[in-house]
Amino acid sequence: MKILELKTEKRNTKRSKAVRKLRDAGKIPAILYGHKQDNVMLSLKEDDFVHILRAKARMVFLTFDNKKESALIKDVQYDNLRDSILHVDFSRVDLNEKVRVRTLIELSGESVGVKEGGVLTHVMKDVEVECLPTVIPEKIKLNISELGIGKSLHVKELPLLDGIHYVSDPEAVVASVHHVVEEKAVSEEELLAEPEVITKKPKEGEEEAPPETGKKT
Amino acid sequence: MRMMPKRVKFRKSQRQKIKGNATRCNTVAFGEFGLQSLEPGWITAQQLEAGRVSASQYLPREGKLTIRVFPHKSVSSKPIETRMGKGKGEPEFWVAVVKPGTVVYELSGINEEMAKQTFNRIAHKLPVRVRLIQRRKTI
Repeated sequence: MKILELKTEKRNTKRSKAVRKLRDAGKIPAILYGHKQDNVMLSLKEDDFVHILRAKARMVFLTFDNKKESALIKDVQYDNLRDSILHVDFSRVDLNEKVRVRTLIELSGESVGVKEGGVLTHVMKDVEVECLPTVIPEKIKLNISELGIGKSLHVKELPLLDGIHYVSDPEAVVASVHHVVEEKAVSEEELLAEPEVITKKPKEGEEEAPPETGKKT
Repeated sequence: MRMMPKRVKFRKSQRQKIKGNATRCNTVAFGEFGLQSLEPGWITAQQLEAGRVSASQYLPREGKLTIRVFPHKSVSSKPIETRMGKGKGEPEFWVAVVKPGTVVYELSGINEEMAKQTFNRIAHKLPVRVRLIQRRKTI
């Protein structure tokens, strides 16, 4: 795992107007926290951070005020409509302490089930792992070539890697192959059906429906 | 499959304004690719279904389509040549309210080129401008 250096500046303002000005100038507001030390508000160049993300780095050395701190990229907030980065969270990390991060799972090979006519579903796209910051895996490859129809692969079947412990539930399904489900034809009655009105008052002569208790006997 | 609620509290609803951008349902959650709305609007159950059918006809078996919105809102209308008044019209169709940023459909199990082609077909059925987005890398 690469650990790149990221130049940052301390910022004193946290008002939305000031932060907006910062973003207009091509910078991103960020925060550094953890290890029971004071939070430090930072700003960094968007281009630099995009470069870090493209390099698939998870750890960075933050430089500010002639100091250098190792930090984990904890969270990145995006503007989902414009795809710009709004804010970044960094967590102070000692290079000798274990961290919990989510890592991508990549499926490799063509499964037996798919060859027989089944459909592959990739249920879990990433898994939580615990490891040293220097050995965070970029992705975990899972071979699915022996996966038949009606079978599934679980977290416990992921390849064991040196110094990496899977935190996610070992019984959680990662990928499965199942039969193709045929669509049901819709009847005329279903097409003309109206939704049931819960608050509808019963007409005279009609019995009021018993209230639902939520428990089935 | 006709999309509409099974049970409702009230049959008819007021039109309401669509304000702001989507703050939920605005990221790709289930698949690898998403079709994101860029405009506010109503997508009817019929349009959603037309999109689903056009995708299912084009997609290979491995591709899986997820519809992220549901038509919860009923739209009423009065019969033609009826005088105004005499109460609100009967519900005619059901719509999903969509804000800029809402992910309407998601696709998984196919490559980008295939997703582009499929979403292009779906986009022709929708009343709002849309764009293709990809799932963000895990941090």
